[in-house]
Order: sequence, then structure tokens, then C-alpha cells
Amino acid sequence: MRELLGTWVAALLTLMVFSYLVSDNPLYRLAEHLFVGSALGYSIVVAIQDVLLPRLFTPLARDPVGYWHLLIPLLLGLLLLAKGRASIAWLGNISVGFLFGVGAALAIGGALVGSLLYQVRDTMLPLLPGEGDGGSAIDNLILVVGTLGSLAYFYFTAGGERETNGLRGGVLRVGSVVGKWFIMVTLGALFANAVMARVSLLVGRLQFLLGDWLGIL
Amino acid sequence: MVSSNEGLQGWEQEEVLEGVEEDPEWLRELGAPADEVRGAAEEEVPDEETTPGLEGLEGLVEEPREKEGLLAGITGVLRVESIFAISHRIGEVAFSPPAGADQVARFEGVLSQPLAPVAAKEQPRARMTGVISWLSYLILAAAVVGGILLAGGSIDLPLTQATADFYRTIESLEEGSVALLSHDYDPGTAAEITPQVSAILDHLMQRGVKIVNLSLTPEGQALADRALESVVSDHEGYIRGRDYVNLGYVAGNEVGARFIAESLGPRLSPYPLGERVGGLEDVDLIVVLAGSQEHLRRWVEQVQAPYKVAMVAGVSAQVDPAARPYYRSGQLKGLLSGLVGAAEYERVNQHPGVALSRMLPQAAAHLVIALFILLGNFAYLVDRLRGRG
Repeated sequence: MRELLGTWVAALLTLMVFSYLVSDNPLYRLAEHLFVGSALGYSIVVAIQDVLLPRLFTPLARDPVGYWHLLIPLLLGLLLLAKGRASIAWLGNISVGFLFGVGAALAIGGALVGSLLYQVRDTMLPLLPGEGDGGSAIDNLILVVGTLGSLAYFYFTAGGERETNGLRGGVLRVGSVVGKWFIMVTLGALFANAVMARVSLLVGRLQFLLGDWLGIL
Repeated sequence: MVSSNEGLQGWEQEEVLEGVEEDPEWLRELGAPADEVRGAAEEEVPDEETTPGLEGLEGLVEEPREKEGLLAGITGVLRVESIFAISHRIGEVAFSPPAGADQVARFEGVLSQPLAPVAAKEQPRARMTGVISWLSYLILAAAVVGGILLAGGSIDLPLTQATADFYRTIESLEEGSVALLSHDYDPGTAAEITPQVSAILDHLMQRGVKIVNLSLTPEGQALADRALESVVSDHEGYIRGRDYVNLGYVAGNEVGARFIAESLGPRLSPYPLGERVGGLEDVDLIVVLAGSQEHLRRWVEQVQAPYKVAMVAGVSAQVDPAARPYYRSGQLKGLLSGLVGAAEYERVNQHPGVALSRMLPQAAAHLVIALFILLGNFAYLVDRLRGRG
């Protein structure tokens, strides 16, 4: 019975969302608000059940002396609540600073070590074909030209008559044109992939309506 | 000064007119008779001529001309006295419409008149656009529904290198190895990634691999549980806690990924599987299932690069362009992309599932969209050629 009810609710909500194709209407709005509300409510419950209770409140309640160090995150969390009142909002800056500091340190360090170094290294490729490896050389050439062209396109600091008219200016101009085309192809690929992803969602929803709800399949 | 002091109270009118009777002191010191100054000023101001094309708007921009003082003969002077003299208590002042209000109303009337010929031309065009939109929706829906109903006939699907590498990586795991699956997606991308998860879990369980599940998104843990339930039912002997666990949601994004890398052992200690896994060093493969590129990047940057753990990824099709460089650089040993990736995996694993059944409607929809793009470009080209002609 519960499963049947769930299927009907899901099917009706799907149809309500599809009704946006006709025009923006109250049914669509209702489905939209239900989705946002339920997602938020669910996230809060998960945060309490999976984070706050098992990793903060339960250990503190069981053994406050043994887990005294958990008082620090508890205090930082409580200070964040001060952000809700203008007169004492400055108290929350300590927690925000801590969050931003740790987050930025991890993100920048990770980006350097995990992305930038690997990607720069991977762009240093042989452009001459090896034995029986002509395809790979063309692949490498496209990658190198595309990378350099895209960098030239975003080189905004070239200025002055000497730079724009000289050899350097000419190279930058040609490079930026090549880069622009590479960027356009990349954006096209991104858009095509986004469309493909949305079509997959459409197929999934229609399969659900025809199979699970109407029982045609 | 301008003597339009309507609406001003008696004492205010007196104040405004005070000092107008005599010329200012500094002017008298110059010695020039006030009448001459006035006359010269009046001579310098030419008579207003109507600008060609604005004959119908005569009088609309007419402004009072200064009659006295230094500014005699000049138009458009801001009448400060009427601003300062009005009481701030609005209720006590009887406002009269400003001069020229009726002309402004007439001008607004001219502007608001519908452009009849243009509207008549645009109306059928707008209607046609609406009809074309509806036709597009219907054709796309018909293509997808037709594909679903004919799902029995699958299409020939080539195996890409990235999927083959993914399969080989899992195939190389020995029985009893440990794989960590991070379910970092939400219902918005579940239609693509859930089939991938089912195919991967099925393969891992075939190989007898121990599976640790977790999620960096709150919704991911519920989706992981659902996928595990559906796959475990086909693999008898797989016991929760001993052979697989779901650690649930891990908060903190970058910090969360690093936290798992540093403290996986303690998190697993309550489960029997914890005896086998003391930390990340005991994990043989990390499988990231990412609905967004940020989630994939977190795992690559915070865990794969610093800890050098083997990693593969299953991503939504829209994440593919961002994930491809990591695969090319060798940081990802394999890559599944979207529903197509899941279908390829089902085929290579010889276990047809929901992804393969969706390939025909997906291909039909792609075909229709490609056709629309060609038609749209053709119409644009014709329109442009006509315009030039």
C-alpha cells in the first residue's frame, strides 16, 4: 500500500512539473516548493542524525571528560548562531574565519597538487609521431594547440602599440582566434553533454510513468 | 522672478516676492541701468524655432521664461521657491496639477498607441512559434515513448576505452579486496548514475569485493541504500556489516573527503568489516559516483593525489568534459559517462539492466534533437538569405 501511494505521489508530482510546458502555473509551483522544502527538511534531519548526534552530542553526553575536545566545535557552532543577530554578529566571525581558512587551505593546496601539476605535466607532450603512432601525435598536437590558444585568448594584459603591432602582438592575435574556436567547441561539447543528461532524465521519468505507474511495460 | 505662486500660503508669497522690486545691490554698483541689462539679455535669446519633424509636439516642451532679474529671458530655471515653500505636511496642501500636465498626458497617449501594422505582422509569427514549440515537444515525447515501447530491440553499442579501462580495473581486484564507493549525487542526476551504481555494485559483488559506501551529499546515502538493497538481493551471502557497509553522509566537502582519508579505520571500527580495514591504505580502489564536477574534483585533489590511491569515476554526462582530463592524465583509471557509460558497462559485464533498455529511447531523442538543430539552422539560413535579398 505504501509503495502504491508513493508511486502515485511521484507520478502526480512528475506530471505537475511537466505542466510547466504549458505555462508557469500553480501546480508546477506547488511541486517546486514541495521539492525544495522536502530536500531542505531531509538535509536537516540527515545532518542531525548522521553528524550532530553520533559525532558530537552522544559522545559528549556519554563521556564529557574523555571527549572534552568536542566542546571546541560545539562552541564554534554556537558562535555561528550569533550571526542571526546584528548586535552580536561579530562573534560568529571566529567560526566563519576558521571555516574559510581551513576550506581555502585545503582547496588551494589540493588544486595545486591534484589538478594543476598533473594537468600541466600532461600538456607537455611529444609532437612528433613515433613508429606507427601517427594518430597519437595528431591528438597531442590538437591538445597543445588548444591549450596554448585558449591561454592566448585569456591573455588580457597585452597592450600598448609596441605589443599589439609587433611579433608578439601578431602571435597573440592569431593564438587568441584559434583559442576562441577551441573554446567554442568546448562549450558546444558541454552543452551537448548537458542535453544528453537531460534527455536521460526525460527517458527515466517517462519509463517510470509508463511502467511503474500505468503498468504498460 | 516667476510669479506663479499658486498653492502658496499668503506669508510664503510675500517672502518669495520680497526683494524682487529692487535690483540687487552688486548690480547697482556696476553702474549699468537694470533696464539695459534686461534688454541685452532678451536680445541674446533667440526666438524658439520648431525642430523639423516635431511640429505635432509644439508647446509640449514649453517652459516658463524668466521675466525679471539676472536670469530674465532664460527658460528652464528650476523654481526653488515652489519646492521650499510647500509644507512638508502633505495633507494640508492642495496640490494643483503642474503646468504642462495635460500635454504630458497627450504625449503619453501618442506613445501608448499600438503600432497596428507591426502587430498584425508579428501576431501570426508568434502563433507559429508557439505551434512549432508544441510540435517539438510532441515529436520528442513520441520518439522517447516509441523507443521505450520498442525496448526489446536494443541498439549496437560500441565499447569506449574509458569504460573498458573501468571494467578492467574492477576485474583486476581479487576476492576480499576493499572498494570505497562515494555516492556523491542527488535525485537530479540519479536517472543517469543509479544504473551505473547498480552495474558497478553487481560487478564488485561478483568479484567478492568488500564494499564501503559513503556520501558527501545528504541525499546520496539514501540513494546508496536503495541501490544496495536492489543489488544485494541477487547476491546471496553478502551480509551488511561484514561484506558491505554504508557509513552515510560525511559533512564538510573538501574537509569531509580528507577526513575520510585520515580516519576511515575508526569510522569502520563498529562493524566486522573494520577488522579487515584499518585505514585508507587497506582500500584497493575508490569509486567516485559524481553528479557534479566539484564532487569529483574533491576526491581527486584531496584523496587521490596526496594518498596515491587507485581511483575510477562514474559521472553524469554533463560532468564528462571536466572528468576527461583526469582520466587522460592517469589520475582516474577508468571513467563511466552518463547513461551510455552504464549501458556499455552492462554490456561488457554481460548483465543487461535498465541502462541498456533506455538506450533506444535515448538514441531516438538524440536523433530528433539533431534533426531539429539541422532544421533550425536551415530556417535561419533561408531567413537570412531572404533578408539580404
